[in-house]
Order: sequence, then structure tokens, then C-alpha cells
Amino acid sequence: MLCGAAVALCLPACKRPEIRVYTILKHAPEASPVPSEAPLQLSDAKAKHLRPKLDYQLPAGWKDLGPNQFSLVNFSIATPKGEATVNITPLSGMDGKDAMIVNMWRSQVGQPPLDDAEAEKSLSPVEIGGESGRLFEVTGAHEGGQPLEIITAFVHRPDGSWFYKLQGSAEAVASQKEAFVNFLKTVKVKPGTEETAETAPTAPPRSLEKNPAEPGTPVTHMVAPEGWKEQAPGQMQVAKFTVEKDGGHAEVSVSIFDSDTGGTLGNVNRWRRMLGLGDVDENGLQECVTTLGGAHFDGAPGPILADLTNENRRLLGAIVPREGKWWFYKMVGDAPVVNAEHDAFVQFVKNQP
Amino acid sequence: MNRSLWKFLTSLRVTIVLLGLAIVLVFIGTVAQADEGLYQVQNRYFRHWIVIGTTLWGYKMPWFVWPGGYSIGVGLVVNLLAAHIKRFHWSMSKLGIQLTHVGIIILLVGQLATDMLQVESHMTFNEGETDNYIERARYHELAFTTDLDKDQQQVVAVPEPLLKQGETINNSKLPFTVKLQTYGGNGDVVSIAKTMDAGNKLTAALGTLEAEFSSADQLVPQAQRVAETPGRAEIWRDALRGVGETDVEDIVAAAKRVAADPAKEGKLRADLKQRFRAGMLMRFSNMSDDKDPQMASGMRLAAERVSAGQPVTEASLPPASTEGAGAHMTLRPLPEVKDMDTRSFPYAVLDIQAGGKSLGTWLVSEALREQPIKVGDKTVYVSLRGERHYLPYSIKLLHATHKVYAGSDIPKDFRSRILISNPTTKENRETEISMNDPLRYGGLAFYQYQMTKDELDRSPGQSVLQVVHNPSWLAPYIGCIVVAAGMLWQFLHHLVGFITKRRTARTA
Repeated sequence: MLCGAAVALCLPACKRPEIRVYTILKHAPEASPVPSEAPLQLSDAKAKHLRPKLDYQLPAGWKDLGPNQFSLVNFSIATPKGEATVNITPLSGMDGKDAMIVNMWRSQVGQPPLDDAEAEKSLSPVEIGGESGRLFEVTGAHEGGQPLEIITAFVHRPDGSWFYKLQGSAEAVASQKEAFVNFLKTVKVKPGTEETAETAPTAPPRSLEKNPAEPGTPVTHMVAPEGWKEQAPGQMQVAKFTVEKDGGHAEVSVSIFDSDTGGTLGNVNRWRRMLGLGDVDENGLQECVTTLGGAHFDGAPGPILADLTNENRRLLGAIVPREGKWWFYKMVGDAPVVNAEHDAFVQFVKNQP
Repeated sequence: MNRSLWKFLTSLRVTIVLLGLAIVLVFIGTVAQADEGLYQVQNRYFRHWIVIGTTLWGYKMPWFVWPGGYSIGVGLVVNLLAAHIKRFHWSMSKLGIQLTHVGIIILLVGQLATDMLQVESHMTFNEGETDNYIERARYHELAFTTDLDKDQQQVVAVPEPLLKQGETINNSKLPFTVKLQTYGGNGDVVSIAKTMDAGNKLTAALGTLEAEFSSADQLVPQAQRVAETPGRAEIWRDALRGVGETDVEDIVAAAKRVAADPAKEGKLRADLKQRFRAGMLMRFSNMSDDKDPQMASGMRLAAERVSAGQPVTEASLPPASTEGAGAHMTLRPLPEVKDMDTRSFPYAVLDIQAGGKSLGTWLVSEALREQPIKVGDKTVYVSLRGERHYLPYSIKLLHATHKVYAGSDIPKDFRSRILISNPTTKENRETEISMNDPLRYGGLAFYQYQMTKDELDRSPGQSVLQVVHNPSWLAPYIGCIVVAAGMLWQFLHHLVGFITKRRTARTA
């Protein structure tokens, strides 16, 4: 009986592998008409392979940040009135749903939906790469209550609906609106080529353990102050250190980005949330930030140091524009350790690379 | 049955010996993980009948032979059952013990069944995406996909065990024959252009370094630069100590002394160059895939070649294939990984033959997207991917919640809001999967597995679900309930007996 049971268990496990032939639907069956913000259906083998390519004339002051998970192209614009961003995203299944598109963006800034007639009125014609598109503007509040303005242009094409979004503070967006409309006229969508597919492998990272210094970053010798122990950096970090002192612990990380990733206020509020503190506005920001001195560029603020404490935890965060990139330094840990390492951290920030 | 065999099978000593063997196996398996990795140890020690050879604390012991997990588990079940049969006699006072034994047998058999029948897969999607298939991460297949019409595709999937170097794959559904020219368990697929770019950067940086320390005159100016950038100070101090300097607090002064000493200055320059060079090469070698995997692979390969004194030129980086993506890529074979945090990326070079002639070679790897192969007017897409199984329903990720405890990376709340659409049952319902709260649906269990989040605490809205097919998933629950019932019965039976006896004694 026991032998029979063992054999019965073994049989499925020892099944000889065979070639399988089967038929599938190109798209996973989907009952919900809810639109998604994801790019063109990724389950479509051809769409996956042939990533569309865009040609355009880049307006002055726009910085190409390359593609990300949601958008094919992203631009950052540093204006005297603050930062604005532009991204281009193709979406499938949006044709004929213009009112829904308007309301989708309105909900993003906390505005009530419009009925179909009102939504239609909010749309104006715009030329997008020689094709007739439509444009609308929404103003409202972003997460955290910051005022936000979005200008969205879109055009429905056989390969999907293409969305061009300019977003930022009302002043920043107003200053870039003309450049944005002119930019739209220059955009040409080209079919994907093998080359564009090849350069974007699908695989997830091979390892989360290895040193992820940003490709193209100048080779630097980052040696820590005495007592800091170098660790394998985490995702998006170029260096990581730990400091142990009198039973306390703190961590230091260094990251480099092409943009200031949301500005001083956004980053300081992010750090505040990490300590369990609430967000502050521009006035509150002055109380927890000091300047470090040094060069300003691209109209952005110079190096700053944020100093945050909540009960027995303290965080020092520095943002340093340097050679066209933004360096982010962060020391977080037990307050006594961070207190003791404050000066070493500031020196480390000032003197790297 | 032979009496002595029956006596052996029912012996308590056998139970003790088997438990002893199990303890040693667990200990050896735990230590061996350091050299062999978790998955190999699970398969070779615990999901096997016999263990032959081991490596403990770095020492190889090919002579080591030990019963595997299956042998010990089956031995314990047989021993327990036989003892149960031999000693079983029905009485209310023994019912608790009988139930406890039955429960343990259910647990043991259930675990054996789980090991043999359980299949683990993953489902990875972004917010708004709908998927209707699951993929096994550590089992791969070579897939050929052809459009049948505007809605349907035909898939010919060749499982990994059939992918061996030199093998030929023929299938009536394919318009060509496939010969596996190369097959490797793990390899980097590296862009030739990016490797050359990285090689140029590295060579230029090393050249600058060479120039910075080319003569004794440059030692002092370089030391003065260190004063401006204290990050390099410790390297300098170590090197200065290496040439016999004891007072290295003032690096410039120490450098002046060494520069004036011909016996020491050459050694110091060579040592500094070696240290800074090693730092540069290490930075390139350890480049992570996180941001630009192609550039990172190129930097790793460039560092490897420069370290070995090999050129990084187009001529020294042969394309992996004549057609497709591989025509611009070169292969860097790697040993298969064994640790938990990394995984192997198998690759193959396929020679596609039709009409008696070769159409060229194609490189396939899980790191590459699907590639088209055109034969006449027919296009077949080829890819090497995780073994894929399609579901009769689809799942859409509506929202991914990713929260960590403030100031740490410790998960607080990983949660996926999903929509299940099942055309067979006309079901179209939303539900949530979170940590410790899986969804059981259609014979599968969906567990919240991973979320991605970057340094800026932004969640890109991607969720990975672990999908487990385990026909014996109820066995541990039933086993535990039976054991608990047996223990409860035993306890209550004795308690009631004790109280009754006490009352009787009082009455008397």
C-alpha cells in the first residue's frame, strides 16, 4: 500500500517533459472597461517587441530624462517659477472616450467630474505631428495640497492613443505652454524597430546586492570618514555606509539623479515622512533647511542640508547640484549617533567626490 | 511477513535512529547552504532519497553518503504505521494517542506530497495591466509564437530539459528546424557598443591615473589635491605607511619626504596607482543592473577584459549571432548562481534551418525581448522565457499598495487590489491580496510576494504575486486538527477519570 502511494506521488513528479503546442488569445480577456495608465497592451507580442520611436525637436531648456516604466519619453524643465515635467505615454483602448479622459485627469487633481457636454467644451484642437489632436487644461491640488496644473494633449492613432502631458506649478506650466504647443507640432511617431527593442531588455535586475552606481557616472573615489563601514549599496544608490557607536546605529546613503526629483520641498517632505513627521509648506521648510554654500545651476537652489528629528531618531539629508546632476546624501538613525557624526557627514557631503 | 522484519519495522529504536539521521541531515543541509545555495540543498538533500557527497565549511567530501529527506520521511511513516498497527487496540483510554499518531502520519505524508506535487510560479504586472498566465522563475522554455488571426496566437513551447547543446528541435507546427548551437545555464547578454563605450571610459580613466603618478614631481601636487578631497586621504595614508612613513597625519609633508627619497617614491607611486586602479575596476565590476542593465553589463565585461589585459575592441567582442538582437550583442558566460538574491539567465544560440539551408543564427535569452524570424510570408516570434502556464481567467492589477515602517525598508503593508475576470463562470469581481492573506482561486493560492520601490520612496505600481499549486495544501490543517483533537481527548479523558476517582474516594 505504501509502495503504491509512493509510486503514485512519484508519477507526476517524474513526468517526461514534452513540447507543448497550444493556442492563446493575443490579449488577456478583460471584462472591465476601466482605463489603465499602462503603456500599450504588453501581452501583445508585437507591441512588446516593436517599441515605437519618437522624433521631435527639443525646446531649449528641456532635459531628456529618457523612458521610464510608464512613459516612453520624459522631460524635465527647470524654470524660474519652479520645475515642470513633460511625458509622452501611449495608451490602448481610449479611442472615443474623450470625456472620460478629461475626467480621469480632473480626478488626479481632485476636481469633480464633468458631464459629457462640459468635458467636450473643455477640449480645444491642437496639431500633434501633423495630425489633429485635442488639448485641455486642468488645475487643482496635488497630493499634499500643492497647486498643480496639467495641460494634456492627445491624439487617437491606429496604434493607440498618444498622450502628451505638461505638468507643474501654474506659473511654470504657463511659461512653457507655448514651447509645449510648438513641440507637439514637431513630434513624429515612428514604428518600432528591432534596434529599439533590443536596447530595452525585459529582464528584471540580475541582482539587488551589487553596487548600482549610475552608468556613466564619473569614476570617483568615495572614501568614508573614520568609523563608517562601507556596505553594498541598495537600489538607486551609489554608496552606502553604516555607523555603529555606543550601541546606536545610523545609515548613510548616496544617490545621484539627473534631476532634483521633485525639488527641495518634495524631498524634505519625503524625508519627514520617513521619520513619521507630517509635511511642511515653503514656510515650514525654512525651519528645517540650511544652505551649504556652493554653485547654483539650471536655476535650481544651491546645496542644502535638511536636519530632522523625531523623538530618538534624526535624519540629515543633503541635496547637492554638481556637474549637471543632483547628489542626494542621507544619514538616518539613532539621534546620539547622528549627533556625533553631524560634522563628519557635512564634510563628507562637501568634499565628495 | 517475516517476524524479524516486522519486529524491526515496529521498533522504537528505529524511530530514534531515523530521528537522529534527520537531525544530522538538517544540520549538514543547513551548513551546506553556504556552498551550494538554498535551492540546490533543498533538491539534493531534502527532496532526494540519498545524498552523495557534500561540502562543509569549504571542505569537499565526495565520499559522504547519507539517507536523503525522502528516505528518512518514508522510513518514519512506515515505522509509525507499523507500530500503530502492531500496538493498536480499540479502547476509549487510548483513542487520544491513536488520533495523535494519525495526525502525525497525515502531516508526514502531506509534506511528502507537497514536496513532490507543489508547483511554484509567479505573476508580475503593473497597475492597470491584465495577465492570464503564470511563469515559473527557475524553469525555462523556448517559445515560438505565431499569429493565427487577429485575436489568436499559436505557441510551441520547448521545456528546458529538452534544451541541450547540439540538439535538434522539429515540430510540425514550426516552418523550420531549430538546432541548438549553444545552450548555457547563465550568461550576460552584453551590448557590443556599450561595452566598447565602457571600455573607452575605463581606459581613459586609467590613463589619467597613470599620468597623475608618472613621475616623482607629481607626488606632492597629487597629495595637495587629497587635502581638497579627503575621500582619498585614507588610501594615501595606507600607502604612505606601506613605504615606512610613520607620521602620515599631514599627507603633503609625508609626500614631500617620500618624493625626496628615490628608494621610496617609485614604490609609493606604484602602490597608489594599484590601489586607485583596483577601486576603479571594482566599481565597474560591481555595477548593478538596476538603472541601465545594458550599460551595467557592458561595464562589467569591460572591467573583466581590462583586468585580464585583454582589448575592448569590436574585433575582440564577437557578435553572439548573425541575426536578431544577438547581432549587436556578445555573450559573457557565467557560472550558475546559487544564492537566493540572484538568479541565472539561461541563453541559447539557435541555428534556424529551412528548405535545407541555414537562415542564420539567433541569440535568445530571458534578458531579451521576443524576436521575429521570417520564413517566407510567415513570421514566428522566438523567446527564451520562464515556463508559462495559461489560466482560464484573467487578473488585472488595479492598485498596488506599498508601505514600509518609517525610516526603514521593513514592509508594513504590501497589498494588491485585483480584478478577477472569469468568462466561464461570468465572474467579474474585485478582491485584495496582502501579506499573510492570500487568495485561493481555481486550485491556486496567490500570495503577495514582492513590490518594487525606488530610493525616492516612489512606488512604480508593480506587484509580484507568488502562485502556488499544491493539491495537498489541506493536509497540514487536517493533521494539526487531528493531533489537537487527540491531545484534547487524552487530557480530558484523564481529567474526567481523575475527578471521578476523587469524588468516589470522598464519598467512601
